[in-house]
Amino acid sequence: MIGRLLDALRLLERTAVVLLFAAMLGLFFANISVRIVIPKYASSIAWAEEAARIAMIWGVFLIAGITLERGRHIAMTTLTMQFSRPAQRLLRRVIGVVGGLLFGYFGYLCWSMMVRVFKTGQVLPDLQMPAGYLYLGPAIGFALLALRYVVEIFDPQIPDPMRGDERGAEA
Amino acid sequence: MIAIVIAATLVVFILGFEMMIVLALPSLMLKEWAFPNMPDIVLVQKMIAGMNQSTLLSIPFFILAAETMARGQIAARLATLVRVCIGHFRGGVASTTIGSSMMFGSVSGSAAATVAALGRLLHPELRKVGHSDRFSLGVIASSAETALLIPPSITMIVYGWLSGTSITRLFAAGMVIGLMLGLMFVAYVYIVSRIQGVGRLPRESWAARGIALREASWALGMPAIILGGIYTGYFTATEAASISVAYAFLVEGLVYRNLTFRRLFNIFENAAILSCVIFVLIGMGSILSYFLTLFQVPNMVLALMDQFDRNVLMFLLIVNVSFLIAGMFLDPSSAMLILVPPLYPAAMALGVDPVHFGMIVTLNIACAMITPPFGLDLFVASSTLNKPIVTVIMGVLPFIAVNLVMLAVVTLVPALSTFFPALLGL
Repeated sequence: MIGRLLDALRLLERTAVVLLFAAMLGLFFANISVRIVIPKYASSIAWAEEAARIAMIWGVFLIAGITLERGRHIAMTTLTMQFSRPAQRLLRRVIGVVGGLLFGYFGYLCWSMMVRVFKTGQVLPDLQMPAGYLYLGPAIGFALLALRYVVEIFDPQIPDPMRGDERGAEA
Repeated sequence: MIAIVIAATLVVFILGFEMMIVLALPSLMLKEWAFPNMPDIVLVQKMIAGMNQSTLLSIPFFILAAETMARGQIAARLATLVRVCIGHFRGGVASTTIGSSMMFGSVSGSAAATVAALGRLLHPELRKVGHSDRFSLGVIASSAETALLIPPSITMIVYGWLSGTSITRLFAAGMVIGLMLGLMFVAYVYIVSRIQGVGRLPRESWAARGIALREASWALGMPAIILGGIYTGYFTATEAASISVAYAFLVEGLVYRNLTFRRLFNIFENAAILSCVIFVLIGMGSILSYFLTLFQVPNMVLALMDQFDRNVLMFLLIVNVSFLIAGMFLDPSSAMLILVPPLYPAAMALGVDPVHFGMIVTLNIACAMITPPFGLDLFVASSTLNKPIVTVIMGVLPFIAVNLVMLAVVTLVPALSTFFPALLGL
């Protein structure tokens, strides 16, 4: 049952993030195209750049949980991989507790920040929509990340030797 | 208390906690210890404010472009073009590896992607012309690091974001330093190939070169758009990045007909995952850097330099050693997020040019990518090509020596980093 729920959640996360990234690219590219092709309308599409930034922030946080599930977040596991398997599983459970608490708290902080900004009535300068929405994506993203850490407490995933190989892909 | 914070951070680092936890933990501890009345909400405010910047949009865009090209045909066609042009020279295949890495670096900005994309392609060719396994692996792992220097470079974007330095100026300087490093590698492989009498292919006909050029012509448009657009000042780095994605989609999709809907979905998903890895670190790094500033760590560094009469060379030596050691254990983004905030203000106070400092930092991190015990490219080369890590390490040792010579030259001659941006009027 929980497995099915997680599968459905994964599909939802992946689809949302792909759509957000596509929107980020489309909006930003449209913004430049207008600036180059019909410069006199450039100011009327300035909101697209702000929207692209929000899509980026939402996207990178919403995929944080899946990134953890796939062992893609950077970690220095060279030493711990020498431990016995039971020790590694125990360690992942401990990391699950710490990560669950830490990112659960970060999610709560983002949510509180969002509520606070909504109350101030602050709006995003170009989009003219409530600025609190900026924090909604990170709040959900941190919650999803915390959820994956909690899952690890019950079902610890031992890092395989390939873990960390993506570390430098961001280089 | 500081000792406890450092010890706790080291423990979670060594125990394999994710780096985002390693970066977040000291920030939280420092906040609770030194600023107990500061509301915790400030943490996320600093984090999101740090990330909500147009400059950073260039990171997912360049990653998207690299993902599209690495999964498509652009990388292979560029490698073929370089090979048919220079493969017949002494050390030609090794030079092809270096040249292809630089070409691929000039469109991707990722060292690991470069090793993965070109390693499988060129390792068999290096072995076929008689190079030892050790040397072949050394060339593949080392030449990929030029991707960090040749623009676009995500490492430089993160440095520019951290320090407020113009990314365009950094890219212009990186072009010179990256080319110089590549040429020094080529000189080394030439000498080795000459001594061993191996490493060249039969000369290709001009017709074959013409075909390779025609087949790679669309791929060659990529560096032209990115670099030409940025250097002429027509685009910002972020704009060039988004155009490069559109161009990569166009070439892979319409010209090479290599882009299905499923592949596109995977490209976006993988780019999001790779971006997430960097952005979560950037987010946590923003908080850490905020507390380092509140603790006046940059001033402490300057006070330390007072003991050396504020000797710039001594400072740069300390910078080099710090980055080399940090880079051996950390990924490029984490190393910069931890070290640039305390060291950059001190560098400025000592009169170091921000672009020069950026080149020193990037070159150190590039070198650390192949430095044992934990240099990333070593592991990528080892796992991609299924070779023992020890063989890769033995292979890269001479390249590390070349790298250190280059580092010394760049450190001692600031003009190398600053003349090209100045020439372009940036």
